[in-house]
Amino acid sequence: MSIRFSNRVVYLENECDADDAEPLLIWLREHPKGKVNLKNCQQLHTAVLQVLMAIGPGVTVMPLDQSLARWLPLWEKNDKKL
Amino acid sequence: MKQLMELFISESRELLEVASKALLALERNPDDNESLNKVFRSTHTLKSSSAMFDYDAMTELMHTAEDLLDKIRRAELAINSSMVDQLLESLDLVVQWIDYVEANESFPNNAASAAKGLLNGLKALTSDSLQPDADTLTAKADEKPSKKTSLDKTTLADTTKHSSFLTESLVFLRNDQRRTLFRSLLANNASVDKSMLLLCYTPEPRCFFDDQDPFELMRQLPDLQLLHIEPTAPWEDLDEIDPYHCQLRFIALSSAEPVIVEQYLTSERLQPEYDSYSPLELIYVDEGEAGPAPELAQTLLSKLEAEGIKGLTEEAVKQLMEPEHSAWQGLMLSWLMTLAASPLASPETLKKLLDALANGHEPRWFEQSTAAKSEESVAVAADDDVAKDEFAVVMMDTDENWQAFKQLIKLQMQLLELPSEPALWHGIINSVARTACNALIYIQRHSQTELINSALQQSVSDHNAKPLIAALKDLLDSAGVADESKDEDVISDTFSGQDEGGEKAAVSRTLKVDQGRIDQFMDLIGELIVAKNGLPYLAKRAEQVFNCRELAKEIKEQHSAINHISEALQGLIMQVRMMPVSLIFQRLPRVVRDLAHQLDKKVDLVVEGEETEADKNVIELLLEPLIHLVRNSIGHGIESTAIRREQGKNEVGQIRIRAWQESDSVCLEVSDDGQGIDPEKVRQRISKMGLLAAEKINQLTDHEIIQYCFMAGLSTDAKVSGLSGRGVGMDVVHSTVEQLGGTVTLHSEVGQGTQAVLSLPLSAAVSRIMTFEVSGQNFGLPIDCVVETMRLPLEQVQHIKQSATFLWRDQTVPLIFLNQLLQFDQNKQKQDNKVAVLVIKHLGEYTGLVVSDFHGGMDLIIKPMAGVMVDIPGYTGTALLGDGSVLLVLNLRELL
Repeated sequence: MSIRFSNRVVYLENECDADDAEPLLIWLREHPKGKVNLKNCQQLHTAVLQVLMAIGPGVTVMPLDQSLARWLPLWEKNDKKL
Repeated sequence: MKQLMELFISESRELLEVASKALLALERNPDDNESLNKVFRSTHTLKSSSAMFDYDAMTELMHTAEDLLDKIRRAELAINSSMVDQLLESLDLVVQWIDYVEANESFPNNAASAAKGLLNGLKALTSDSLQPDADTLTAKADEKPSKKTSLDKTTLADTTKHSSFLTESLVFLRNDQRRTLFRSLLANNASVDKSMLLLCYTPEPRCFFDDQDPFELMRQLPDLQLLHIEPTAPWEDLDEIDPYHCQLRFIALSSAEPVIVEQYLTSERLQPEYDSYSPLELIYVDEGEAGPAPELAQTLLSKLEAEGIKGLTEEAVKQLMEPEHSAWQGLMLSWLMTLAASPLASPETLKKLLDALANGHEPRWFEQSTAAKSEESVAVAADDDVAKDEFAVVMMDTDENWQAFKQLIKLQMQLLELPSEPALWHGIINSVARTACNALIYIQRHSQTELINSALQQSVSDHNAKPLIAALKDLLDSAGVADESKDEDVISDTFSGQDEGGEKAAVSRTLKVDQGRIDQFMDLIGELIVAKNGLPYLAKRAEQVFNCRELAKEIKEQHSAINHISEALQGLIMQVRMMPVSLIFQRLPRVVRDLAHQLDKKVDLVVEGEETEADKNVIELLLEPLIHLVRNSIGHGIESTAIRREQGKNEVGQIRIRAWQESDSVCLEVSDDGQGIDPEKVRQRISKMGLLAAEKINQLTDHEIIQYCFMAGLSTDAKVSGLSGRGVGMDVVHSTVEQLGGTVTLHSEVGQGTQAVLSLPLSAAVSRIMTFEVSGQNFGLPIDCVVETMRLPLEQVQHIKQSATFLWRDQTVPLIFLNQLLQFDQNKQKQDNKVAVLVIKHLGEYTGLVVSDFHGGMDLIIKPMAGVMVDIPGYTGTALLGDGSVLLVLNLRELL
């Protein structure tokens, strides 16, 4: 699994594929204050990215992989129905 | 695949529900954009998910519906009731298909032909619309991607399109960001005819299902210089986000040769909208109002001609300081300096920019002949206006931060452990605490400063550094944990509880569990209860057979403990199965709307108490009776508009549905303000059908007579219509309610309206049963219908003609000998010449049932009769008793 949950932080690691989008979405819905750690993320599937952009959780650590970090868009918190 | 299919079915059902509800809301209020969007999104998702299974007919139908909705959404069409009808019909058809898919695990073959009529109808409605007036960029991007011609081939009309593609695509960039981009584009490559490729790519919404990863594809674009990702529409509410519906747009800029990029796009089969540009075309100002500054341009031009590019730059810097220039002019000056410092700087390009400044328009780089090669290229100092690189990544918590923090804390601990002068001790300990707090604030762990402060107070009052050292050590430990797991941001719960204690409690984990499992769970608990019921028998045996009172006592103790747990378990599982009645209420508006339309009546539906909860089984079984009651109200109750007007009633009839909880039961009331039930008509009907003797008919009160409406085949309406009048509906209501162990009562007043009240147990799983014995066999009856148990002296039994009666509470009550009714042997008469009588209330009437003996009440799970016993009348079902014997539960309605 490239997605791992702790109490307040979700860890996206290695290569996140489209299947990770749904559990991520569910977790973020349930944890309105949850944050994401992208430190060891090397590849982020668009579906996962879209969930992040749509919900806009705080990021604790940006990816170490600069080729990914450089192109990650900045997202804003989606305050609808929180 | 099967799981996917199940998901598809359940999700489609939900979506269909949402869509039809929203459609009805939309019909009531055509300006309700939220409902419109809901319908649109639902149809859209239905379309996409059906395509996943290659259910072409469904995809096409939903697609056509979506087209129509889109036109409505863009205000090109106004919604009307024929559209709502068509859309609702389409949804109905999809419901049928989904039902078919669920039953047969395949899509109906005739689907395409079944959808034909609707498709034509929807298309006709859609094509009535006006032509779209303006082509916005968003609309363009949504359409099929088109490849643009390259710069040198463009016609005049294309030039505008060409440059507007650039300005509109890069609208998210501020001027300073655009300048940074310009500089970085030209940083390593000094070629004058350098070009860049701008791409705008909106992937297909369903692209994830085709295994596409647009973000990754864009990231791999050769020589990517800029990647901007934005949603194609504002984000939806959190609970409506569909993670597998791509709604992103990518805007990318590559500095690679267009041929290379094109090759990449072809190999990845990407078809973005793209065009190639000269970096010069990034030079424009879209902020502030363009104001021509011919004098300023002239000054700069003369400098350029006299002193070359260097002189121009110096003058530009000087001019920039002048406060009288407008924002637009200031930005043009900044661009001028940026251009002058770039490899593209040439008298020709600079003159063009100055020309634009003089005339207050955007630079026209390619209006005349192609730009000549630069004659001179003078490097000057970079301008002061270096904007922060907006594309650089802001690193948040870095390793360095944590390492520094840890070292700092370690140092403070060492400091505390050093022997110190007593006079200095206070100063040291205070400074250590302050340093730790500052460090915590720096790494954004404000919440933990309190820990340090309280430890400091403790240390000061104890005059001992240990509490503070311990607190610091805790900090390090929490850092250590984070370190081990390679995550610098794990905050242990103790700490997070400090600032967001409330949040932790609010976080709930929701599980979606298949109902079958809950049912299994329920069954197991039922068996546990039965097994538990076996313990008292065991205790009795221990005492009577083995003469071991001690053991019997211990077994009884165990029994009460297990009893406690099983009751708690049962309560818990009941709660899990509880669902709000709104689940069925939400189906009713549609029923009311359709029937009212059909009968040309005006009906308003009022729903109250939607949040009332009951067991899922009860809720599910209630839908049918509820619909029958509503149909009856509209069909028989509420008069036509003309009659209502004549009678001085409000033209719009009202149906009110109310739900509430009353102790252990849930009550539902369906009332209307229609014509009511005429008891005389019911009497006539009963006598015609020969259901009751004439004298009995006259004896009964109006209220009692009305209850006979629930009998099968009894309809007072002369004409049988498509929706009611066969007399079946009310029978369904009654039998369902009875099956659930509830009661239903009718109240009616002629001319005022009718009211049906259903009272049902909260849960149908475990019922309280009165058990008794008839000729040595155990039987049961739902305890709700038992009014009283009594021992009746035989001499009080009176015989009226053939039937036995007795006097009870000042009324003559018929007495039925159950052994005769069930065709058993004669009861063994008790010594005292008394018979055991259960007084029961059935259909509002009291009856005495003579049994052999009473056994008391029990909580039992009644299983319906199965197999060959299904057709045996007189029994509701069976239940297993603790001693392993089977209890037959009687069905009074069938027996009496």
